[in-house]
Amino acid sequence: MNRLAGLILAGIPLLVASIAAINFFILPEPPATKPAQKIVLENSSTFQSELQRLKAEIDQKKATPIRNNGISVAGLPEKTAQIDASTASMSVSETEIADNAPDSTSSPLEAERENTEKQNPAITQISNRFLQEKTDEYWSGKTSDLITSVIDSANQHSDALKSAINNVECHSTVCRAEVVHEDQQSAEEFAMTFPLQVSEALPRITYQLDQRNDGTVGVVMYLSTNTP
Amino acid sequence: MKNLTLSSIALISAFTAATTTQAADNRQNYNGSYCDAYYGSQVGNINHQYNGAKNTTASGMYISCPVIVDEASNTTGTNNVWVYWTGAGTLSCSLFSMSGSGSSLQSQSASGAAGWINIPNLTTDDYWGSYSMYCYLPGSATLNTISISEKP
Repeated sequence: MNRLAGLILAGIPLLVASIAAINFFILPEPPATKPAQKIVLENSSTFQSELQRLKAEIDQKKATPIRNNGISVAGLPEKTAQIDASTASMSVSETEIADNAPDSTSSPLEAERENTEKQNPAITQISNRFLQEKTDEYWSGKTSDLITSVIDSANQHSDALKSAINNVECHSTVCRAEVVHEDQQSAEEFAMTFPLQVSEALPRITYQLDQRNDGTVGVVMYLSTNTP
Repeated sequence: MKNLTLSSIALISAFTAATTTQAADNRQNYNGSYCDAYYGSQVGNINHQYNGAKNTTASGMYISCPVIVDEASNTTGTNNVWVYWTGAGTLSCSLFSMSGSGSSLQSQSASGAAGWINIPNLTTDDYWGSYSMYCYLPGSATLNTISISEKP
């Protein structure tokens, strides 16, 4: 028993040392991206010229007399103007970044507020495509009829599905349809059945919810083929 | 004892190597048994089998399958989604991206005979939202697998 315990105790350091050796010699090291970048920078002529310019600027500053008594500082107005200008441009670019960032706000409540103010980018994209498209009369007529007949047929055969089309317009690969559902339940039923019924001709649907106060649910749908 | 130690080293090292060299593929494969009947009244008509969700009736039924968004900050939708099923007739599925409040942002639909069917990619989703998939599963059919990956 003592011998067995001794063997186990001796085996643990061996196991640890072996794993360390395998990890060191066999497993690949992560790519050293940072040092490689540094070498490129140090060797680049742009970096060298920038370094020389900065050195010259420091030397110039050292040589310039500064009277910091609250009355005047040499070169201060120009520098202040430069700083103001760069700060102004910085704040503009930060605003731009915030506008273009995804809805990664810190809480879902903020995101909901933002979403009511901001348009889904996919809606903007598909509505632009719709507006720019020419109308293919054959496709437009055939596809409009399909959308209308699916909704009419569903209304006739189901008590739960009560949805009305306000407008359907089809161009050559995209249709825009405005639908009003009697209530939330009708909207949910519609969402489940309608896409499957038109999927062969119009597999992709992008939705824009129209908030209403009377309990009805308005939806603008952009139905499209999958061609870009 | 020596053999045991060497085996342990080989096993641990193989595991370490496998985890450190893991590929960047973020595709998620779901067993279809996650799916359930859309209507509460039909929940008892689905068998949640080891190999998927089986419609035990002779009639088609709507089923709902939750699929997970694992990269919330990527809001550019999915790559193509694949669904495998067995049975007779046609399976039709719609994949939705939803906002956090549950309203639909976009859907993509596809249909096909038994085997793999391909649902083309969604192009948008929401940071706080989720994905959902509805299918119309023919009678006696089984939805076996859902394979999905988000755009990076």
